[in-house]
Amino acid sequence: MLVLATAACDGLIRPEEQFSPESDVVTIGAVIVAGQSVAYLLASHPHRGFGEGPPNVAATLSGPGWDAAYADSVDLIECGVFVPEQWAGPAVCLRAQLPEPIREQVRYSLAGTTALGAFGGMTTVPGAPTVLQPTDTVRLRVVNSEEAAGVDVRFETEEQVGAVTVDVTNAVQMMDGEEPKNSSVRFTAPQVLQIRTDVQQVAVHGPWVPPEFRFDLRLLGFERNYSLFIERRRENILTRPWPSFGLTGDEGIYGYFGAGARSRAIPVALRVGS
Amino acid sequence: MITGLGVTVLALTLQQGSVGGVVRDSVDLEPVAYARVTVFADGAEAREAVSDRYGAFVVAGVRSGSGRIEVAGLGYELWTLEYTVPPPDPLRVLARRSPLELEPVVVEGHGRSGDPLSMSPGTFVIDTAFVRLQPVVLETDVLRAAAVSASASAASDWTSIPRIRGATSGGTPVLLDGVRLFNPFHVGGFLSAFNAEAIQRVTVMTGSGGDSQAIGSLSGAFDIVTRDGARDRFRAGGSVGLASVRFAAEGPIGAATSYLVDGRRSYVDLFTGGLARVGLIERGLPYSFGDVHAKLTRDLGGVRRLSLTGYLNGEGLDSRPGDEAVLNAASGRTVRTDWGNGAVVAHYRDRMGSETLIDVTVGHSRFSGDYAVFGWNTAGADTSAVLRAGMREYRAEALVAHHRGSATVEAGLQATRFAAEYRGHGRPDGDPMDLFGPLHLDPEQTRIAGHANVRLALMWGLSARTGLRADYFVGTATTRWLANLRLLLLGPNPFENAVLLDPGSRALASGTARGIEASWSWADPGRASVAGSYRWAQASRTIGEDTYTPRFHRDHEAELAVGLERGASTWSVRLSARSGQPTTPVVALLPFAGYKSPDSDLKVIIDNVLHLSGAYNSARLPSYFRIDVGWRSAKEISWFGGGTLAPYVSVANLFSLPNVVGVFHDWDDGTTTRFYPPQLPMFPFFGLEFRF
Repeated sequence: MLVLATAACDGLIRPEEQFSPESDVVTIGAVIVAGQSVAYLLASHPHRGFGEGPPNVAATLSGPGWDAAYADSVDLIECGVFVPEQWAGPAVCLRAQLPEPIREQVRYSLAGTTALGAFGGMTTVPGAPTVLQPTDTVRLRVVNSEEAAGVDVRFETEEQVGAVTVDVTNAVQMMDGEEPKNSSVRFTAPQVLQIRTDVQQVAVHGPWVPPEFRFDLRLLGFERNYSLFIERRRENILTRPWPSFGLTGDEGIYGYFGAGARSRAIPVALRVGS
Repeated sequence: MITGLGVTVLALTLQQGSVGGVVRDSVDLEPVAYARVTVFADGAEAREAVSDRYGAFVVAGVRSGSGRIEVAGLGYELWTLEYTVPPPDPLRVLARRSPLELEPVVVEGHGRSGDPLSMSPGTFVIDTAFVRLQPVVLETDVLRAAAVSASASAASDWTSIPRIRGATSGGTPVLLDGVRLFNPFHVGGFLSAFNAEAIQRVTVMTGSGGDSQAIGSLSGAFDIVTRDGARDRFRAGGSVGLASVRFAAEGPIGAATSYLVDGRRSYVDLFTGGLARVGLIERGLPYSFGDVHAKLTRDLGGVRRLSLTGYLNGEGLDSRPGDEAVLNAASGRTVRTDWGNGAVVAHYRDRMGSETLIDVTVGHSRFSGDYAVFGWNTAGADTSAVLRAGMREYRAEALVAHHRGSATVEAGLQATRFAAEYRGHGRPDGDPMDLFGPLHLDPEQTRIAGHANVRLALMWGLSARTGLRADYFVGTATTRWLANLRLLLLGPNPFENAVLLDPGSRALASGTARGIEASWSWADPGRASVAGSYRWAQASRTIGEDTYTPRFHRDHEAELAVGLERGASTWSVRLSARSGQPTTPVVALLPFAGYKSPDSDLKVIIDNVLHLSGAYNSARLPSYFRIDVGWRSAKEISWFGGGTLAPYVSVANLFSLPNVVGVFHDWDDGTTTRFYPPQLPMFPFFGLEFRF
């Protein structure tokens, strides 16, 4: 009855309104991962309109004995922004070419400036999760293209790893009488695994078609900065005092700076069809 | 000299006695509470007392010799008795109803509604007459009317039971004939779980001292007293409203015993189910609630009485029919949940001598609930999680009230035993969107309390009161296994939120509430009555180093209830003006994209906005203003030997003023919008009450 009443008077309730921030803000997001020779930094003006242009950011990533500037402005998709016009304000994706791949157990620092002031952060790349199970190629069968593939995994992490996510690479659709075709999967569930040593199942959702689909499953372990961000970002709203996600800055500069490492690949071969 | 004065005082004391008895309605013999009893002994100052919840009174310090007794109950004619010597035995005062009675449904006359304050200092008394002078919201609800009290604040339009002086609901118990009900709500709090047909009176106790001292709560109590049942003849009453049907039957058993049986059942499930079966709507709403109550009262003569109360309610939601996920189609899950309260109370009253009343109460209350989630991502099983919850309380207390001169001394002993058990049967590796993994909670606690207080009647109607209460808690041991407890974020399914809170996450806290309360009332019997209140207060909670304003506290609240009587019709208006409730302001947006490896073949990437907010509850929602209007009438009919039909119509939130209960920030397609969950929109309610 109450639902009906509310629905009946839907036009008479207080309407939604757009959030109108009072201050200017620059947000920074940067995650480095072991083994990679490039690093990305995403900077946004979430309180500005798209016509006002992205933030001006000068930033440097420092490793053992070297500095690398985030000098290249690249497509936002490389920073994970697939639909820029649906992002929260104008943004820029900056790339740094590194003199060497990111290494595990090594400390890196980030420093930069924006129109609102300076920011900086520090992180130590953790060791990659050690996959204990499976030890060999996983062979599974699914009945149809909508059925998820359940892969049982067991792994160990270092103490400094606070969150483990799932990555899928080398997805290939095998075709009868044709060349294998590069493909992709939609998503995995759960997206964040629990850190413990017993078996957990990761459901990988296709679509795939007969006769076979192959992919590699990898586990990504993140240090505390980014792990905390992964945990707290689900809360939608964070009350002051805000926790530190590895990046500090002058008033109006917020964000995170984290690091991760990727496990060995778990090959999965999936037979599709009954 | 000192000895001489002592002899004089002793001689005067020996010449004084007391007059006691019970005030009852002359028609159905229900006790009349808060009647003012005055003894005018010749040659002495008048002595006065007020009848208690069972109609009993003791006027102490009555000088021997002739005099006159007057009993004035609001809504009743003045009762008088001339005497040559003070009556040695308990009086039986049969008060005749005032000819300006509102309608036969009302136990007490309409004059009661004009003055809910004066008869019991420190409390706010709501009887059925007062309730019926308020516009109905969904159906007649004795507890919703309590928000008129200056000490009570409605958390929102969606809850019927207000909060007292900034406290949470846990600090203000709801007592039914002396025993606590754990879940006194229906419809998620919109309706109280009490059938208005059975309620004689609700007393809003506003603090932890005074009358509340015997309860031992942090912040007052809602003390609900049910009627004894008519002792003159069989009577039946009830109502048909938008939400439910109610029915009550009462009558005498022999000369000294009465009974009252009443029940209520919602029919939204039956109604919408019928519409669904004939194809008018896609599916019904599988929700229902109901309650039954019975009371047996035996008058043992004078003030002596024995009563037994039994109460049972239930509520349930089952989204399984048709294997369709009614509540959460997006997740593909269905939910079955049912819960309810039960209570039994025995009360015995006697007296020792002429000046001491004794009350003994023994009660038991329990709550039980089952919650099951079916389907979705639990491979190989059709049930993903089950929670069974139970709470029990056993209570025994004895209260002695001694009246001597201008003083009343009350002392009591109270023992309560509380036990709870929560068992969750979920999969430890279930999806994070499930409510819980396995959990087990079984706290138990025994509480023994002693309390005493003294009340002195002073001149000009003033009185002074002081008291002391001591509590001893035994055995607070709690065993629990909460390693797998997960709490959902708000959003996906409201029935899965805020059900459990990990006790380990609780912290010792303190709180304050300071302010000014003012209440007033005025009545011109038969024409108009007005009751109102204004409260300014500041409330705060402190946890560790954080001090904040409680979420539902408002600094300013003004309430006004006006009733106008014209012939058989009663028009009512209720105005509420309140300052805004606290909210936590968002000050910055932090957009993020989940990390994705350059060579990843995952299509779905998490992106969203994290809202960074200022200090907790440091901003205010817009202020609140609401106007409710109502009309009811009483029509005499001859059916079933004569009775009354009373139709009522009301409109809540006239003009649909856009009051809000909170604010959520939601990010989508590049913008963050503020969504304001609404309070009650403009909506009409109607129904029919009857009594034969």
